[in-house]
Amino acid sequence: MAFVEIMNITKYYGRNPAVNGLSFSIEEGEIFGLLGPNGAGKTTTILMLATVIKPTSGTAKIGGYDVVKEPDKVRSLLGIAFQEPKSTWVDKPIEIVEWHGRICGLRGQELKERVKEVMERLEIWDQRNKFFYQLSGGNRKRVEVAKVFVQKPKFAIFDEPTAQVDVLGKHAIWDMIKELRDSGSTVMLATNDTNEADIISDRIGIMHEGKLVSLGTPSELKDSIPGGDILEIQLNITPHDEMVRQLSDIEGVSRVVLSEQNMLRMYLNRGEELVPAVLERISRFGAKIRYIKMKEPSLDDVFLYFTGERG
Amino acid sequence: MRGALFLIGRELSKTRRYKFFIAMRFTWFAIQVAVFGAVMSRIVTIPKFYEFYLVGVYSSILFTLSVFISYEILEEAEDGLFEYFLSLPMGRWEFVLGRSVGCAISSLAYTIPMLLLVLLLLGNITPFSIALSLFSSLLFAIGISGIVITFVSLVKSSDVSDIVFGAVDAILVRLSTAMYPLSAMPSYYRIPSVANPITQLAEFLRYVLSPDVFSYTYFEPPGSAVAFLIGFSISAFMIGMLVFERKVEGGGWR
Repeated sequence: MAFVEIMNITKYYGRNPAVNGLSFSIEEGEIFGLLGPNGAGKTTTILMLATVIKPTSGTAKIGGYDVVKEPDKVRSLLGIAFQEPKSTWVDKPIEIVEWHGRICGLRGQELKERVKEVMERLEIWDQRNKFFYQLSGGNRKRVEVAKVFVQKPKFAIFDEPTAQVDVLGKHAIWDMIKELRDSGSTVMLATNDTNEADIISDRIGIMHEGKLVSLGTPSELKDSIPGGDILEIQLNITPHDEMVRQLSDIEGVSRVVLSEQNMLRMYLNRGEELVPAVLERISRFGAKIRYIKMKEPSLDDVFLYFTGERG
Repeated sequence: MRGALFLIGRELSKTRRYKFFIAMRFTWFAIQVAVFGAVMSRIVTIPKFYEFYLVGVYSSILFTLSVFISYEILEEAEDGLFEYFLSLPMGRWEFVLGRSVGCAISSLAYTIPMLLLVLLLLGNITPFSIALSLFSSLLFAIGISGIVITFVSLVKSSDVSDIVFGAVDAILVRLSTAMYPLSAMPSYYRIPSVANPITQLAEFLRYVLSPDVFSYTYFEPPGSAVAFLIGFSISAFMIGMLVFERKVEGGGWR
């Protein structure tokens, strides 16, 4: 059953659409990863769902409540960890997290215990009485996500929850997000970290230029790339347009992408059969191969394929 | 209503951090009334001008501080807190009410030492005078805070807000009876002066604290000042609520 339904939602800033006719749904109790490059419209989408900004057209329903017509009811269901940690510089982590818990309805011993447990797991309990400005960027981020873990909302939104957080901290946050899902919350995770999306998302939507360009489970997305194999070739020269055109013309090659450091990335069907033809075409141009590798697609490749950008 | 109470509590907890600022402001105020006020009252021939002046300077300072404290929403926006508040489980009306009343109580907390000094100098420290002074000051501060918060959240520009409230401060304080009585004003100044919340607060406080001064400097019945202040605070809240529900959204701060 869909807990979140986004229906043709659009947001214009001036004449520019930040989100353009976006539609998808999130099932109850799943972690939905919203993946996209910077400026894809992820944060704008999240802010519309959180009723912080108003859609120019279209709407969304969360738990059956319309974000445009029933924003108060929507806000009673959700908790959001923003991309940029939100606090004044003179607040202390313990005050920030406790105040958030209280305004979301927690009280007494339950609040104190939950705050302590969450802050200990995120390794910020020892820093609870420091001023916010004294915390590192990673710890500020932990304070931001701690609010949502203490709240345990029906619909939890995380906007790049592990940016600036170290590897151990990332794993702690990912584990806690999964536990939040297992305890019954529906989770939306906006990120441009393909690894993060791959590890914890049940399903992933890829946004590009305000639109959804692909949607599915991580494995479905990996299988969805035309040409299931990826051939990476680094040359001694920068591949020119004619070489790219001739390589694209080989039957079974679905796409050729030029990336950094003289690197060609080719999406192929039956890759192992096409390698000789590819090498022959390259040799016609007098180019030498410095490095060649055939691999299965990762979510990075999916991201790159649909957005044409590095994740 | 719960959300509004939490916001009020948050504002008050912030006030505790600014003890030095409150002490500094009080010192300035004490110097103002001890030096400037005393000297002015020797120059001005109006009877009991010093009493007139004490109430006026308190009213104008309460106005300035209410604007100043409500203005913090701009700093909070820079820290991203505005978007955070808009995402919390409360209605927009709770946000406007909580912030307006919270900022108003904070403004009172800053000025209570000044008010007590005024009452002391006027020789009128009674539970009745304190209660009425605080009540009218709170209504006034709620109205001012509501207007400032709504305007700032709508225009989302510190430059525009600085210019507008600089002009408003200059006009409202000078076109009020804070520093000079209505009876001394040219007739064309009197209408805007009477429609001015600073005038209404100052005159009501004079009526409560120094009735002799009120009776010869002002022409309106004192009940009208209370009605004005109640209407002013409620109107500011209603306008704020409508603007927040229909127009205000996160982002776009300049």
